[in-house]
Order: sequence, then C-alpha cells, then structure tokens
Amino acid sequence: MALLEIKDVTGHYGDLQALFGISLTLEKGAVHSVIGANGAGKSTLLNIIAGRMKPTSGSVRFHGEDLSHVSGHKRVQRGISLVPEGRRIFPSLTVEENVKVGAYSKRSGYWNVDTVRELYPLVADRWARLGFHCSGGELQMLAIARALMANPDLLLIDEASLGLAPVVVAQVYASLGQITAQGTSVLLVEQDVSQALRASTTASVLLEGRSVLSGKSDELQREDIKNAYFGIGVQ
Amino acid sequence: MVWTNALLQGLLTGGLYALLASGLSLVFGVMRIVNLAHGDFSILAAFLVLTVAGQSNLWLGTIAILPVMALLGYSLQRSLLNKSISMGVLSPLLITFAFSIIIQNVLLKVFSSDTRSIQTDSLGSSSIKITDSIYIGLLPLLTFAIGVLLTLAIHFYLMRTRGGRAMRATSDDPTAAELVGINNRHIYGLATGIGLFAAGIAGILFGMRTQFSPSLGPIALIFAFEAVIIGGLGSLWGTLLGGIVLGVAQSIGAQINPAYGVLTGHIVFILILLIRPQGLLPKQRGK
Repeated sequence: MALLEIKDVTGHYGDLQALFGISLTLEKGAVHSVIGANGAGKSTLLNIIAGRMKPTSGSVRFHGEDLSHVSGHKRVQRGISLVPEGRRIFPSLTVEENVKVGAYSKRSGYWNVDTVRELYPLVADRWARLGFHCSGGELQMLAIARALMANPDLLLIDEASLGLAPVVVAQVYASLGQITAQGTSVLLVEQDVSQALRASTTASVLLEGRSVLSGKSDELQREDIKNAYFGIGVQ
Repeated sequence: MVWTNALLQGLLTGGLYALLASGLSLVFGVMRIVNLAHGDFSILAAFLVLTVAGQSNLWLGTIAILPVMALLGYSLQRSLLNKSISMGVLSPLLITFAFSIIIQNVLLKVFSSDTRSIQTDSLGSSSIKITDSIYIGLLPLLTFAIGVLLTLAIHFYLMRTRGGRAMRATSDDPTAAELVGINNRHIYGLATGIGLFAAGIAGILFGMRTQFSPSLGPIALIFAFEAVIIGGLGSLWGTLLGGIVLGVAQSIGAQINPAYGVLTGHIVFILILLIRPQGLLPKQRGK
C-alpha cells in the first residue's frame, strides 16, 4: 500500500480553479518534488494534503485512510506535518518552545529535542532566543525541526529554499537525507528545479494547476522539464 | 497617615479589579475578542453562590460554582463563540453583548432588582491593625492575595505547561498552531473556561465585599476593562498593575472627596490612554 495516494484532486479559491485533477502516489521513504512556477498550484496541493484547504473533488488517502473528514490538527496525529511557506514560527515563543510545541501531538519516534538539536546545530545554538529574532535560515531549520518533533511519516515542505542564502539551502537539503533515513517520506514543493531534482527520487511539474510532467527525477530530461515549467508545447 | 491608609486600601481594592480583569485579559490575549458579558458572568457567579450557600456551606458553594463557571465558559466558546470568531471581529462583540443582556434579564426575573450581599460571618468585618489609624480588612487582604495568586497561577500555566505553551502558540498564529496538531477550538474553549473561572472568583469576592444587583455587570466590566487598558492589552502582569493603579486612583480620589472616587479612576484611565496608550506593562511584540 502506498503511503500517500492523491486521486483526481481539484481545488478552488472561490470561483478560481487552482488545481485540475491532480493524481500522485508516494511510497514510504521516498522523496517527491513538485516543481512549478508561481501560481502553478504547488502550495494549494500541499495545503489540501495537510488539511488546511478542502478539495472540491477527488480524494487524499494516507496509509489507505480517506482523509476527507479528517481536520488539519488530526492529520498531524495521523503522521502528516507541513513546513509552510513563510515558516510561520511562533514569534513570542523561544526556539526551545517552538521545537517543543511541535511535539504537541505526542507521536513517538526517532525525533526528539536531542535528535533535532543534533540535526540542526544552528537551532541548538539559538535555543533561548525568541522566534521573533531568528534569521531566515534559522527560521527554516526551526520550522523543519518543529515539524519533525511530531515524528511524521510524511513531511511536506513548501518552498524549502525560498529567500535563503546558498549555504543555508545546502544545509537544509543535506538534512533531508538524514530525515528520510529515519523512514520519513518527503513531499517537496520547490521553484529551484536543480535542487529539487537532486534531492528527490521522483518529481512532477505543475503548470497552471495541471500536472504536465512526472517521472523519476534522474530520468526526466532537462529540456522536457524546462518546456513543462514554462508551458512550451504543452496543450 | 490618612494618605497612606488611602493608598493601602486602594492597593487592596486593586486586587479585586485585577481579579475581575484577569479573565478578560486572558481571553483577549488568546483570541483578540472582548467579552462584553464578562462583568455579568461575575455577577451571575455571585448570585449562584448566594443561592447555593443559602442551602449549604458558603465555601462549599463557592467550590461547587467555580468549576460550573469554567464549564460554562468552555461550552459557550465551543458552541457559539468559536463560530462567531470566524465571522469577523464584530460577531463576538455582538454575541457577548447579547449574553450580557440575557444574563441581566434572567437575573432580574429570578432575583428581582433588590441589592444583595453574600454573608461571610466574621470574615467581612475582621481586620488587622497596622497602626492606630490604619487597619487592613481581612477580606480585602484575602482578595488581593487571591488576585496575585491567580495571576501567578495563570502565568505558570502559560509559561511552564504543555497546554499553556499551546495556548501561547495559538495566540501567536492559530493557523500555524493547527499545523503542529493543536486544536484551536479546544484551546479557545480552555481560555474562556479559565476566563469565566477567574470572573467567578472575582464576582463571589465582590459579592462578599459589597452589595450587588443584576444590573451591576456592566459596571464591573468597565472597571475590568480600565484595568486591562491601563496595564496593557493582553499582558497578565500589566492587568494586575492596572487593577492596582485603578484601585489606588479611586481611593485617593475618594479621600479628596467621597464623590470623586470612581471619577478619579476614570480620569487616570483617560490620562494613561493619552500619555501611554499601549499601557504601563504592554505585551511586547515577540514576547
């Protein structure tokens, strides 16, 4: 049984349709990247999986269970954690408290305060600092650390590299290997095509809410990805 | 010596205002809504204790009523107020205003407009002699101590417990809180439950200290609201300080002329709004 099965999902913002019949399957321990330009529907897809938004039609199954009637906070208990775009760190909580509040769902597993501090030493160095005072890179690592504290089976990361210095991006991507080594699958939304393909086993390209290309990351041709990304020759 | 006495009595009265305001402050801090029925819930608790205490022991009645107030707060939040929050800032105001009218009229119907007080035997009249001209009433002292203890307890809950951390996270960013598995609706229910628990304590002590009637809720709300504003919106320790400042201002005003007590409190409130609109101990951004 696949870990995550998305079938014919459509999504709307009022009258505006953002997703058109997206289907996707993710196996346990895999990393899948969803690539696309601004407005392609990548974040909408993650929000639907995380329960922040209801799909207009289609289904999302996790561990074989239909999540239609499972609210966002209960999906965390089921094993889905989202690192949202903009990180959404709690500004009045310290780094330590931000990490600890991530364990609110009390799921057991490899990740705890010690293991996330080991994964991200920079987060450990800022332990007593308020979330409000953290830099962009620290916030991204903290957001991932917070999500890992729920010991998710599936980690959704929205725009992992957006607005970060190259050295920080490299650190974030380097940590993905350690995360998947613990059996966590990752669904990565990214505009940086090269980074996304290097980090993932499979990838799909969204264009204006439609999946226009998908396959194994190392088998996808650069030219095909470029054409799909910009909609060249796509019907 | 007269002024020292006025200062001391004002300080103790401030404890009562802080108690009244602490629930209001917590609910505002977590949900950014002002419960316009907060004062009426306090008076409701006083009437409930009056009823229960008439048939049994006063303190047993108080212990029985406080969990009822907390449960009432949780249930109202889960059933009505949570829905209203998603409908914009005006809806919770209108709904709590409706609660205020309903509570006042139900109390009026059941208990009439007669003023009442909760009899405490010797507690209400006992005092401690400080000097020949300064005495501290035992009940005001107890009220002040409970005010400080309650503030400490809420502070400890917010800063040191898993539930409190979740409440602060929800206050910061309810959407992000959902993403870490926090059920915002439950957290909001808890906040209102604690808020009405505190309102209940304040109402009962208020009823022990002075006379009350069904129409007194809005006046209690004004004092609580002034204490919250003087201290700084959403700041728990600020609320305690705000209550004390209001109490001292009223006491000093009353010392000048008995008719000036409440008026002086209002003037100090307006002055602080003009000079320091963020309050004396505002909740810091990022704190």
